[in-house]
Amino acid sequence: MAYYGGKYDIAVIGAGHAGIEAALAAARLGLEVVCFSTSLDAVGNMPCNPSIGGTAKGQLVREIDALGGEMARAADSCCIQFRMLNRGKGPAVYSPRAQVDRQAYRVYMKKALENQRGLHLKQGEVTGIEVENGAVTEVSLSSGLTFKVGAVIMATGTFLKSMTFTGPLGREAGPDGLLPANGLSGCLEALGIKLRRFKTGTPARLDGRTVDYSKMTLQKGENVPEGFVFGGSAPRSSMPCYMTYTNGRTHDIIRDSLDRSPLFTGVIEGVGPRYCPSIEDKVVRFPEKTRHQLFIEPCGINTNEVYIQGLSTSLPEDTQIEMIHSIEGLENAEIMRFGYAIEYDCLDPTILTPMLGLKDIKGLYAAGQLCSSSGYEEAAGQGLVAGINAAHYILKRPPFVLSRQDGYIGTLIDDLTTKGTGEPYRMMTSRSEYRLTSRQDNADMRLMKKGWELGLLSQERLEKCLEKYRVAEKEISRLKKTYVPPSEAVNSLLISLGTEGISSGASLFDLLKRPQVTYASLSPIDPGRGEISWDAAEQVEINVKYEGYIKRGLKEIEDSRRLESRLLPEDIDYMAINTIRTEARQKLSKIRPMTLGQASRISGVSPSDIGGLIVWLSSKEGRNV
Amino acid sequence: MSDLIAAYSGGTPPCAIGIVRMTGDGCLETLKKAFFPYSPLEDKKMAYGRLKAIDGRTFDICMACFMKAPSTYTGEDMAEIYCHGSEAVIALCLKTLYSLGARPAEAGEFTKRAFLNGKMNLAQAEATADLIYSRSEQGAKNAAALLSGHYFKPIGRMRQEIMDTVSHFYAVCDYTDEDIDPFEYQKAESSFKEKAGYLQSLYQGYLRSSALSEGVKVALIGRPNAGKSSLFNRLAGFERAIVTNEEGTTRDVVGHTVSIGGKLFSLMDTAGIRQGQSEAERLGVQRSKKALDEAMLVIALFDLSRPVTHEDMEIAQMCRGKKAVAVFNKTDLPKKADVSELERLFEDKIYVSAAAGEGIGRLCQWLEENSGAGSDILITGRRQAELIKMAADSLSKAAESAAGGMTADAFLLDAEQGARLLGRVLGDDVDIDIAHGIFSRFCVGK
Repeated sequence: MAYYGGKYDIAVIGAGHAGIEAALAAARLGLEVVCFSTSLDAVGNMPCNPSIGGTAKGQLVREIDALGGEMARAADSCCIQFRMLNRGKGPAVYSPRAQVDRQAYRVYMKKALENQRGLHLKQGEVTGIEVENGAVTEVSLSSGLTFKVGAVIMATGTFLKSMTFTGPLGREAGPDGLLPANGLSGCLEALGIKLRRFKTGTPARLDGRTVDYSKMTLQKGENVPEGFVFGGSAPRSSMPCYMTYTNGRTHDIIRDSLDRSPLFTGVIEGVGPRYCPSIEDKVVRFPEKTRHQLFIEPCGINTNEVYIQGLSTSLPEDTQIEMIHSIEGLENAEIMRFGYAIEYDCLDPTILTPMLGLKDIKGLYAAGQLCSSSGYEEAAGQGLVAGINAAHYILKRPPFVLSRQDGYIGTLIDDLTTKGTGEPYRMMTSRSEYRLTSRQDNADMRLMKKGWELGLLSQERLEKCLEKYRVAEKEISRLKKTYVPPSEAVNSLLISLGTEGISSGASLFDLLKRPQVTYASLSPIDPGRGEISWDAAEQVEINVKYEGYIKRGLKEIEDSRRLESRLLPEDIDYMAINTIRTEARQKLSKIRPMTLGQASRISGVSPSDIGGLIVWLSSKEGRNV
Repeated sequence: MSDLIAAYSGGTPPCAIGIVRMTGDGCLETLKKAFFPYSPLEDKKMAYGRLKAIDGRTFDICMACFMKAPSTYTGEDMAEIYCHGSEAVIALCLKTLYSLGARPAEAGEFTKRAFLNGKMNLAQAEATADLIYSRSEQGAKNAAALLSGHYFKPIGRMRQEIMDTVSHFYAVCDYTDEDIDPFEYQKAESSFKEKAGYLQSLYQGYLRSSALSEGVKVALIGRPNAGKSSLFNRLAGFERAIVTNEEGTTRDVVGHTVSIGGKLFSLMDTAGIRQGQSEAERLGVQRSKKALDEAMLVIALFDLSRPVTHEDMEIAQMCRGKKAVAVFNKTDLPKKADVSELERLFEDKIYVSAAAGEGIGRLCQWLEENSGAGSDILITGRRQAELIKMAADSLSKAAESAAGGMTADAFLLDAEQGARLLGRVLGDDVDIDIAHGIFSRFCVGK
């Protein structure tokens, strides 16, 4: 029975990592937001690994913080181990990662939503989105309850028509045995949105008391954890992880039961991620590897459950037991939850604009795994952008677009909406061509001003950020002016650092440029040094050492902005442009890029085609090439 | 869609036949108003007829051809008129077409249209420019290879290898949970160094031959009256330098480009190296020395019919550090020189008689063998050469930074930059701004 429930500016469907950021951002921009979840006990659930961050993902989380999002605060607050990955490999690839207490995280996030003014958290399954005159007007629940809304953000994660598989056993279920959302897919298809099936998976969870850690390698967190939040306090980092390996016997067990693996028997049709494959995938695809690395990660403080990173699987339960028992340290491990694969409906993100709105339906936005991405952080970054843009749509403010040059969130969204993806998209440092300027340590400089302008970041935090960079800049110019003589003290220090001594005076700035020298290591020969914060010192060090590269990177950004700033008229009839190849015309018609820069990144559109497009545009504007 | 353009496309008049080209909308109609064939015009068939000016006067009787779109060079309707190659006829032909509605084509506009109509990509358009400009066989071959799309395979391979190295590093960083083989800094360093060296040698090849269009510079030196001018004329094949028996008659550097074995050589005949008597001679000597500096190859000429002098020894000294051949001239005359010491100073020695034409073949062979233009790739385009030089520099910088202990996230940026530049050489990656530059290089009428 249909009945009317009220009127909101924006409805958010789903309260996972994308939905949370979307709902919070929209409500923080002053709108009335209703956020639906099929289970209010699963708000901010982490159905896969109990960790936030990692390579490139850590960068996303820091950017979310700089823009005034919630994920970084939640992760720091629920952190039980913190590490900076890729230390020693260079600042472009430093990536923060936190092991997180997943129960505490859910509690934190639910409370954050509840306490947000203008945000109304409701349990229910949205099964209908009403569109009138090309714009959304209403959402309805399976119960018949309807709400008038101005915009809708779909953040359905892996719940649409989700099926889980463990061996031959398939069932209609969402992650962690939650209810699937079967009602919305049909509505989306009726709206002309084509859906497809993707799949992902998760490993088994064990009782930590039954694991023999003495046979494994200890992996401790950092003693001085930096955390995700800029200017935040150090998170807790006390819980250890452990490392072990699969072996030949494990692989034999897996191979012997491939005929009962839904991945290989064709039961699962969805496309899985190449970058986060199941163990049976790895064994089949890399037969030459005699072992695969595994990490035992704690799921939280108030539980004995541990997660086996690297052992994602959908093999039958009996095989999972045998396989786990073949691994060193897990001989007597007791399984608490079995691993499974999950298959779900998602959409082709090239139907979306860089604002994450549907090109053909006004007021309808999408974020997270529904948009063919994978990962909590990728979801949260999209949720934030979708939330801001849905709010701007209601408030009639200009669209908010993050570009590739702005950082990883921009790159993620540009990749999804311009290039599309044939598998669940995972963020990686190699995907960003601006990685040396889009680092985790300077996300504040890159984005806090935007966050403040949007109204999501406080004046106080922006000023703290500006002060940090002012201090760093001042210190750099001091180092430039401070010369040291080729004295015994200076040269013995330099030699002890593994670099050559000097024969004439040198500035501390020049000495710091040497790869072997750190800012801290120069302090014995730098008596005039004042006290500066560690994060300002970090900026000094990176900006001096990588000065040439950073300058060049900034110039590249500036150059590329010329293409990015060249807007393409919305009504271009690409099929009629005879200066570009037919394949490129079709691609351009489908994507309808906003800028020439975006057009140049569409796969199947060659530089020659872009040349042709420029020439065509120029001739239309009455100029020669 | 596109307006009618016309231009002269033939060789420098006066010449046997002048070719006037036209393309664009209304091509056939305009042709019919200027060219009146004796038999009906057919697509891509030559027709014979009269060329008439606006006032109806016939000014030439010649062939013309109409080519229907889209299978034409520009992808549009095209016409070509093969009139007589005098300046007056060509000018009148163009004037007629212009007054009938065609406008003068800009440089490269025909090829630009070909590109715009999808007939070729940018790299091919660029190669077309090279093909037009190339004056030697090898240059034409390279340009033609690019036009056919099979170009610079080794460069493509090199770019792939660089990107594989870069990907490996990021794979290690991006998959911290997988135990991927560690990134090998030293291997990367030596690979970048090797590639930089190879690219550098390609660039040197370009410099040395100054693109094939200009030819390999060869200096001819020797003391006065050693027979330089005679030899020069032998190689050049005709009388150009003044040849007399009086010493010091060649007062300046006389240059000429000759083709030997399909390669171009720019021969520079120099004034004899001798302490000058007159101001003019002294200047000539200075110029000779400069020519020697610029030359890639040096022919040092010695007179067998006269005793060796300290000037001959000086000439031999001047050849140090250059790729030089000692040519002992006048084998046809009685030998009066003891050249044993000179022979020791040169690795390559050839005996000739410039007057009788003996031994010239061996000298030509030496020039060919030492021109260094025989590598599998020779860069012919200036822009490509510059890109290759920049790529070499980027890769050297990557290798140096790696050796200096810089982190891979930084030095790989240099390597990636190198790969991008190579992509531009291949035409896979195009700097949009270059598009216009490429077309402006074309001569009008192409």
